[in-house]
Amino acid sequence: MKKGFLGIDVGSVSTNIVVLGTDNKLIKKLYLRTNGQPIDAIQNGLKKIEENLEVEIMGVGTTGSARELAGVIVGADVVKNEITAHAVAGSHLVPGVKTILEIGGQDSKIIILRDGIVVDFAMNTVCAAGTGSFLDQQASRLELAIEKFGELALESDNPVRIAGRCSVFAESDMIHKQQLGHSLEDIIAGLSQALVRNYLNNVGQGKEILEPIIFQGGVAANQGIKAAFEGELDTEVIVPKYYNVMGAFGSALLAKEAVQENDESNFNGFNVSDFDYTASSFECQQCPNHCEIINIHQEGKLVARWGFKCSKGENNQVQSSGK
Amino acid sequence: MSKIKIGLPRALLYHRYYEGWETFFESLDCEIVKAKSSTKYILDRGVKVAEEEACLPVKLFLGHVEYLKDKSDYIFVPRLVSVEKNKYLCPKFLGLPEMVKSSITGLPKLIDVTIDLRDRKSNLLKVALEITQQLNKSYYQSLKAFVQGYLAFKRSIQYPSNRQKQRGQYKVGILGHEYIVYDDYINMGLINKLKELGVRAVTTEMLDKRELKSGLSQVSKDMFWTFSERMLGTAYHFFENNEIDGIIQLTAFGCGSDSLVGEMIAREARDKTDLPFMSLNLDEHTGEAGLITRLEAFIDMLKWRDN
Repeated sequence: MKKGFLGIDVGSVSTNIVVLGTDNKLIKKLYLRTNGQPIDAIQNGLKKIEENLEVEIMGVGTTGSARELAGVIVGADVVKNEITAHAVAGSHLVPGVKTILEIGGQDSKIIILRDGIVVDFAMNTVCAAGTGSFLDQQASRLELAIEKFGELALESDNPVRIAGRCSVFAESDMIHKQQLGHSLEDIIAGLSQALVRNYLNNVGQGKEILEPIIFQGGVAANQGIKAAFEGELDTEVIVPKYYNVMGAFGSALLAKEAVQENDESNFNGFNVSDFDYTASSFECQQCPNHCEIINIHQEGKLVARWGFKCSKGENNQVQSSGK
Repeated sequence: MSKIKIGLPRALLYHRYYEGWETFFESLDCEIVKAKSSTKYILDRGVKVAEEEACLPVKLFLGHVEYLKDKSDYIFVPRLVSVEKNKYLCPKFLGLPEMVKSSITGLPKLIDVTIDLRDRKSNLLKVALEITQQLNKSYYQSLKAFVQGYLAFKRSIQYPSNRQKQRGQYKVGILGHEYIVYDDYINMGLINKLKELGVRAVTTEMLDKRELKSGLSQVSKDMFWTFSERMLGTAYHFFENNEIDGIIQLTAFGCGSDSLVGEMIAREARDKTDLPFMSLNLDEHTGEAGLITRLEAFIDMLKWRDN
């Protein structure tokens, strides 16, 4: 049987899984909606990826905002933040890349690389205007399939000016422009430009954006946004082949590296999708910090917990009741 | 007779002067009352009573005053105008007693003396005498307390024992106000997280006089504000120090001097150094997850360079 590595990226909007061969070539990939249920998404994803998969998993890596959770469930060899995972994948697939623009479900990042090394990065802080969630929301308000969003934008001849600073104001601006009678194409193209401006002014502020530039993350599927980036930066923007699973791709590459160091994988096997995992939370009352604690149970047994600011959680001194 | 209870809000310049202040009040035979640390409860109280546009550190200070108001006979809320010649402190320190009085009801008496050492340092003694008068202590007692407090402060900045240098594979310079860098709640345990990641934090207070001085000598123009100038001097020192692997800047939401000096430092960092530089802005809504993600990515960046 072939050997390979598993990379899992559990983000706010999508859960992505890839299987890479030992030659770093992609064997299988999967893009699923998380739908606010990360545990289910991981289990379903594992089930789907396992179907007809003739690969022996030698190592597994997790990333994304639910990386810790995913790591506990699958027995990850490496749990890495999404910035590093994206950078690893980007520089692997497009050697020599100098700028990575990444827009995901709820966050957006910019990663600056020089000679294959990350030298600077930024991530959106307080504002999610222009990320996938907002585009989703607007598409459903306009009763458009999100897949059509980008194509429509490309049909515009005369994009309107939309306020992109804040997603709430962008929406009211869009509604206003609709009421004035502007065409949908022009509004959507205008929105794409506004989001790109916002991205470059916020996340990209003060960053040296040099070619080659790649654009990845779920939003990279949107041709309109890609075109808007190219217009604003006045240069070509590459969307890599596996743009929507780059986090998972990077995480599989990292798993390979980790296993080389550790010699052995912690992978729990695909049967973890049959176990019953539940998460519960409580507010610890032992001190005035009132930490929000998360417990992860496997078949009713506590397997992991986090959220403590102090060390009480590590030795399970605190019961779930918080007393 | 029971001792007079002096409430010390564990925020703002407490973090710089507490050794001096506590020794002073203890030598006056007073009991110090303070919170063990900042907590969610304290910050929430502060946010609730604070005027909307107050900066995060002031909100936290008000929270501490709220916490102390029923536990102390007096609360120490000095009006700090200047602590060195021809330099000022941020305006929030100048109006702190008013801010406290207008935001919080049911206060005990405040010790709201004015500390202004712009013209001469000896003004500090007058301040000490003023406090002791308010507390009905003798002249002799106050002189003794002043000397002891002053020496304790001097010792604390000379041998920052509680600011022990830590071990770690990498060394990261931390730029930020002391009341953010040393408040584990507000910075979400940043220093400890760095430690867990194998990184040793270096702060302004860990620099020796000579290092800080050489950094300060590169500041092209008078900065007016003592602490912002120190921060800038530290930044210049980090830029040139080849033992530092990276720099993390901590700024507080709503902080006026950070919005100016912080931005200046970020720009200088871009021009003057190739060191990895990251700026983190903290406010009461900051999520820990985002902070950890950034920190981890930052450390990965350092390691990546190393290989």
